[in-house]
Amino acid sequence: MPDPGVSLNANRAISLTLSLKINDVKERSIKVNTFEWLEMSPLAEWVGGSLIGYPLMLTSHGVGMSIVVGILFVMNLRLLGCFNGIAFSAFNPLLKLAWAGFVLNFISGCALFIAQATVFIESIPFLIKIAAIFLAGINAAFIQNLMRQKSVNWDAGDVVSESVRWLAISSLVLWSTVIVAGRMIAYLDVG
Amino acid sequence: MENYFEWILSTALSSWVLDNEWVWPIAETFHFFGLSLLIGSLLLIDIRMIGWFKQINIQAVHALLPLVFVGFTVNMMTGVLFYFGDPERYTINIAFQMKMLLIVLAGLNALLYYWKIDSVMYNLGPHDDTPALAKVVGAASLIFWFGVLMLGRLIPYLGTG
Repeated sequence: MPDPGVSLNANRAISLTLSLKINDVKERSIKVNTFEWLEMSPLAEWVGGSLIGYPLMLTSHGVGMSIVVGILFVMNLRLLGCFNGIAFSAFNPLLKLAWAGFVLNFISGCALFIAQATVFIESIPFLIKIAAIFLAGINAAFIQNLMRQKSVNWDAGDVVSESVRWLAISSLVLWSTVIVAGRMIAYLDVG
Repeated sequence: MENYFEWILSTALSSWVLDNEWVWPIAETFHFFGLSLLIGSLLLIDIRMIGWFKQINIQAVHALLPLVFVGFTVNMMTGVLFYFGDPERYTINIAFQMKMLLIVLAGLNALLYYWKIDSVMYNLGPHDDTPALAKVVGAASLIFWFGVLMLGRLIPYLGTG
């Protein structure tokens, strides 16, 4: 004779799983709708649909990248001991230029993102790229702060400490990750 | 022209690019590193030549030139791979043609620098202002190279035939 208690529990478990699944589906559909909604915004339609929107944003994104990565690359190499003739303090104004490139890429990047939000949000390389940008941005702010405080002393002959060198190395690695992952979006995306 | 394309597509290099699907994305990634190196270090050199950021030692920016050449070499090599992988599309593409034209102009601009300005630059103090011709050459270099970058990005969007 079957134990009614067990089957009742089993039924409960099944209905619990079912309701979880329904919630899961609901949550997903809300998530998708947010990104679908972004894709349908007027800006997204301009970027994705007009003749110049997408190429303009993509071109700006390339210009910004060369400014940010170019300047930070040289600065990091300087921190690691290359180009000894260039004063550390000379990089302070250049870092402002690098942040201008960062802002340009944040804006153009957002525009490119919303044009295909549902595709990007499920792309692993894209998510890696965003995580790397986040870390690289924090890293850059740290280095900038150190440069402001110490560049004059470094120029006067103080040794750049090992922890600063490691910051420079992680900056090089993080920005390289941004470039590699960014390039891979087009090849590995799930859309 | 047909013979020319046939010759390119019959080369081992072309087959290598076309037969290995990883070549293109990896070459593109290197092309992006190269352009960041090339334009990033040129940016520092050129803005100092224009006369901005005088706190940068003008004698020291010379030390960045090897980075420019590394970036240029990486991009020329990867660029040749792209061209050999799809010669018909690139050759007739207006953005590609203008990009190549700008690279030639940027090269001539660099020659002008070595011919007229390089020797003068060595006599400048570290934080001196630069002569007018140096400013023109520096500005032209920035315009040419950013133009190269932008046109490259536009190759898929501007007319192919």
